[in-house]
Amino acid sequence: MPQSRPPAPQILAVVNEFLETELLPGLEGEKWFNLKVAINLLALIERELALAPASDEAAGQRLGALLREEGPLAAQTRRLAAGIRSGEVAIDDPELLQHLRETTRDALRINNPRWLKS
Amino acid sequence: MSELDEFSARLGRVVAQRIGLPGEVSEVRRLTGGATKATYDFRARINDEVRHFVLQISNPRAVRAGDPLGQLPRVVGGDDAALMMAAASSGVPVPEVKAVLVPEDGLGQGFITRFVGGETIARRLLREPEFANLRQGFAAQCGRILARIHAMEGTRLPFLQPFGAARQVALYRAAYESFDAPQPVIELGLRWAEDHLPENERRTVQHGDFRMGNLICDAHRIASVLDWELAAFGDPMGDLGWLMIRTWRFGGAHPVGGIGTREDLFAAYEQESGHRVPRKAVRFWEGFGCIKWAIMCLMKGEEHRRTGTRTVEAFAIGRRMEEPLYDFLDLLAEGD
Repeated sequence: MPQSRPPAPQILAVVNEFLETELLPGLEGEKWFNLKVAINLLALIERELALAPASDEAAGQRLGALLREEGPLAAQTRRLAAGIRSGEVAIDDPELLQHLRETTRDALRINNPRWLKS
Repeated sequence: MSELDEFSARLGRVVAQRIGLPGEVSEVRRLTGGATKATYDFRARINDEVRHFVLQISNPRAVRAGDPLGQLPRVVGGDDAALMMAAASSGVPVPEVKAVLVPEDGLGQGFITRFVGGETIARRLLREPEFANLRQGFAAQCGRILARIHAMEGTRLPFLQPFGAARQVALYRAAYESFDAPQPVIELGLRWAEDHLPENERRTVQHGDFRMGNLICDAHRIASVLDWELAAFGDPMGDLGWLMIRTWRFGGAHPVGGIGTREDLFAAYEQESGHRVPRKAVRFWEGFGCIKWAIMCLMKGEEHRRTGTRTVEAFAIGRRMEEPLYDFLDLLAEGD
């Protein structure tokens, strides 16, 4: 990322504030609905920018331990998915389930934090 | 002539030919619309009276030959209308079908029903004081309606596809794999489903999408069951499990649409149908329902890869995939 100012998360925040306070109140029907959804998506990206570096790091470490092999996150995820499909990975392995629970929680912290029960 | 004027003129000809004269159409309004499905609300003059109707257009999915998505059941047009008429004769509340479109009408595949007033928005049904009475009997009413759907005469509906548990798991697996977007929790869920297929499934008409959002309700009761396009021949318990997944509770505390209990649903279903509800099978369908909804979210978020059309709404649904996956992992943690 460039060292330019203001940084991307702040730009997103100000754009979203503008959309929500200046544009949304003047709309109705389908346009209101779609802008509302768009505002929620921008807020989601804000959370992703803030949270993903740490959750990706943690996921990488868990995957490294599970698969006994290092690699980029996407490739590791693909490997784990293939292992579950082939039966190579036992689906009742507590370490696997722990990893999946944490990965799913971390994704929800970005995609929809209100879905989390605690 | 504008597109809407042309549309209204065609609609007016259908009304005049098949519902009543003069059939003059007014106040055409699109309620919902998507790539393959749209609903319109309109008025039409029949004799001296202005009546209120709904037009539903449901075109087949645009998929290439051999695409696994094309294998998933989808009931459209005249079949959809025939299914709703069969449901009505089994005592299921549905909007009365008034006319079925034919190709010469130039409007696509679909049908016209009488308009049914009421509320479909879950948030309001769950919380507004005016629906207190509805909430009281909601789960039991769902049980009775589902029992009637499952008692529908299947031989009169030859277009319904067989869609038992094993086939559903296989077809949703194929649909998921066609995106090449590996998701370990979906893989886990599909394997869990393959290992826990229900025993001694019955085979009946299945609504396929019986849930809050597809039910028009008034202050006291469910007035109409909508959206029959995912209907098939399957395990009737699939409808019970699907109804209870957390997504369709819309924030409510109780399993049946957020407002009713499992016990009320099962008791009413058993009494009306004369069949016991196998609890283990319902649990399978709740677990697999979560996986299925996750795959549907993936399908929605990625549909632009097939259709070339992208929308903010579809992308937002794509990002809902982890909600049911989280619920599935919860269900696994509860144990058998």
